[in-house]
Order: sequence, then C-alpha cells, then structure tokens
Amino acid sequence: MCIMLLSFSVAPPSEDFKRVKDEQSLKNKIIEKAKNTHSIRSDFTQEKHLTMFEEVMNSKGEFLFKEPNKVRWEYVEPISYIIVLDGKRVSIKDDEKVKSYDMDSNPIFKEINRLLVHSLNGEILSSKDFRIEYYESKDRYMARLFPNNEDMKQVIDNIEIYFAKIDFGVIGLRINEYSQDFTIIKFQNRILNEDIKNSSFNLNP
Amino acid sequence: MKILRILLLILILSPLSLLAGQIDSSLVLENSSARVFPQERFRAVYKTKIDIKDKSFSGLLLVRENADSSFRIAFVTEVGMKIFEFEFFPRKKDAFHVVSILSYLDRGIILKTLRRDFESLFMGFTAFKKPKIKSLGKASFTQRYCYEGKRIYFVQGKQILSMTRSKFLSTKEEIHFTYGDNAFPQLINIHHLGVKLDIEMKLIKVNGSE
Repeated sequence: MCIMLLSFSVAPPSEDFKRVKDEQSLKNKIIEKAKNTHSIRSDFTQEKHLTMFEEVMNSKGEFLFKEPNKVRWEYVEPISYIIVLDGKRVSIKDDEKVKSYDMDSNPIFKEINRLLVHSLNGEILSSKDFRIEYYESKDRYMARLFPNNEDMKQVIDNIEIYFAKIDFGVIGLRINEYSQDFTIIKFQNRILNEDIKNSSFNLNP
Repeated sequence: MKILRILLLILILSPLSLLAGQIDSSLVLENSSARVFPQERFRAVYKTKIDIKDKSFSGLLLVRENADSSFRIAFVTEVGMKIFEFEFFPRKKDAFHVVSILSYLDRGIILKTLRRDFESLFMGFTAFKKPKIKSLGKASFTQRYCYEGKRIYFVQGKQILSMTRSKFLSTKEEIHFTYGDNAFPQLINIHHLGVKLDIEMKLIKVNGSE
C-alpha cells in the first residue's frame, strides 16, 4: 500500500543511542569497510513522512552501486521508475521513456549522487561539508551529519547514516528536513562485491 | 419627460431581462454541485509531471480532502524530495496557504498559476467563497457552466469533462478530464496558453485502493 495514515503507535520504538567514545576508531573501521566494498546490490524500502500532511509515502525497489560512482535506483512500487547516476550524467526511465541529462545542468542530482557515493565509500565522514556526531546502540552505529553549507541547511536539518555493527556496512539512511518531514531508506538483502555488469547502468537498449 | 419615461421603463424591465437570461435555474441548482472528484473526504495519489519553462518535475501528487472541505496537496518526486505542499480552505478569506515550495518555483506568477490550477480541480463549484454559477445553455449532450465569468466547465450529468479559462476573449487555460471505471478522473491534463506550464496527472490510487 502506497499511502497509509501516519501512526506513531506503530512506529518502531526508538533505539537507545549513545555517543561513541572513540569516534576516530569507528570512523577508521567504517572507511576501511567502505574501501573494500566495490559493489552493492540491495533491496530497499523508502518512507517519505510528510509530517504536516500526516501521511507516509511508501515505495520500494532495488539499489545497485558499483565503484567508483555508478548508482542505480529502480523503484518497482508504487510506480516503475529507474534513475541511474554515474557522476557525469543522470538517466531516468519513466513510462518506458529514457531521458538523460548532463549532471552539471542539474545541481540537485549532482548533490544527491555525491552524497550517496560519498556515503557508500566513506568519504562523507571526512567531508568538511558536515559536522558529524557518532552514536551507537546495541546493533547499530549511527553517524549524524549536520550540514555546514547554508543552502543545504535551509532544506536539511541533518542526515543519519546507519551502519550494521556486525560488518560496518550501510543499512539505512534517515534524512531529516528542516520542515520536519523526513525520509527513511532501509537496505535489505545486501550482496557485496558481486560482479555487476556495466550494462545495468545503461538504460538505453 | 418622454425621455424620463423611457428611462424608467428600461430600469423596471432590465432586472426581468437579466433573469430571463439565466436559462434554466433548476438545471443550475441540480448541477451546481458538480465536482471534479465525486466524493467528499477522499485521498488520492496521482503520478504527475509538471513542465515549467525549461524544467520538468515528475513524482507523485497526494491529494486529500478533509472533513471541513479543506484540501491539502503535496508533490513529491520519486526519490522522496518534496517540491511543494499547499493547503486550500474554501469559504475563508485566506483560502490558500503555502506550506512549502522549492525555491525555484517560489515566484509570484508560478505560485498564482499553480494555485488557480488546483483550485479549478479540487474546489467544487459550491466550495468557492461566493458561487456565481450560470448555465450557458446546452450543446448536444453537454451543458456548460460558467463560474464567475472566468472558468467555463463543460458538464455531462455529474461529470466535468473539461474546463476553459479565458481573459479578454482569449483562452488562457484548458483542462481535460478522462474517466475510467470509477467516477474519479483517471487522467487530467492542464494546458496553459501563453505561459509555459503544463501538468499531466495519472491516477495511481484512490482512498487506499487500486
């Protein structure tokens, strides 16, 4: 179901996150893990919480990443929609039509691609664009990134990146907007370092 | 004195002639509740594409009518980025509230046009502050209703088939509705003449069902 009423009673209980004491050690482990991750294939779910609207938009699909900077989001519900980013161009398949744009002409997509790739390769943790706090719960680490850029601050309050304690891999993101809306992306069934063909990132037949 | 009599005659007769111009008041009353969306308090999702000047935005448009007849709409891209969120309050002085809008679109002419477009869709005839609706007569199976002299809706039974908005005898906007099995419009096409702003909407879900 694409739309459901926002119900705080069914929301997962918030985990007890505490600040990490040795942040540098955690950061090094996450970056080391990221450096050894050459590709990711994963299912994902996306929840867009419209707080004032009191609605949640749910979607799901498959996510592919191949280093250095190829990303493919394929939405299968509620609509079929594919977006491929490769650092230079963004290609979108919508209603069987494919359109490609120069990423320089679309700063929003350029920023999304940069954030995604830097989140996956760990570079975001060394970025001067954010002030970062590290937290941990029983099962997860979380890096909370506060943007330094004034333009970004007007839209995004902070970004939370969640890592599995078992392997330091990225298992989810939460983008908290200034408007109190937020987006949760969860990655499931992650397969790392599979041989993903370059053709997966080419939407033209 | 003769001129005065003639003037008096004109003054007395003129209201009668105006009344006679409103063709069939029973039809007006019957159809004045015609709405683009047939039921009150609904929730719908439309796959939507908005072309503005040289930019194109696609995503999902959420529409909800509340118990107080107010409307709330939000346009969110497929990747979860909100383009805008508006509220409409019929019969109120401040009938339109911008909850949020992307800075690129936060310009007077664009906001005014979007507001007018969505008011044309989501505010039923009777939802406007002071409905002034008159029948413009029948043309084959279609009746035409004029709202405040600007919007002309083409109505068949209880369904609105299209709408045109004109200014100084020139058409400024056209909206076409295509219906499927249920009474909700499956396709809505909004086309502006003079302003490069077109909207295409395709129904994905209504009231949580397919």
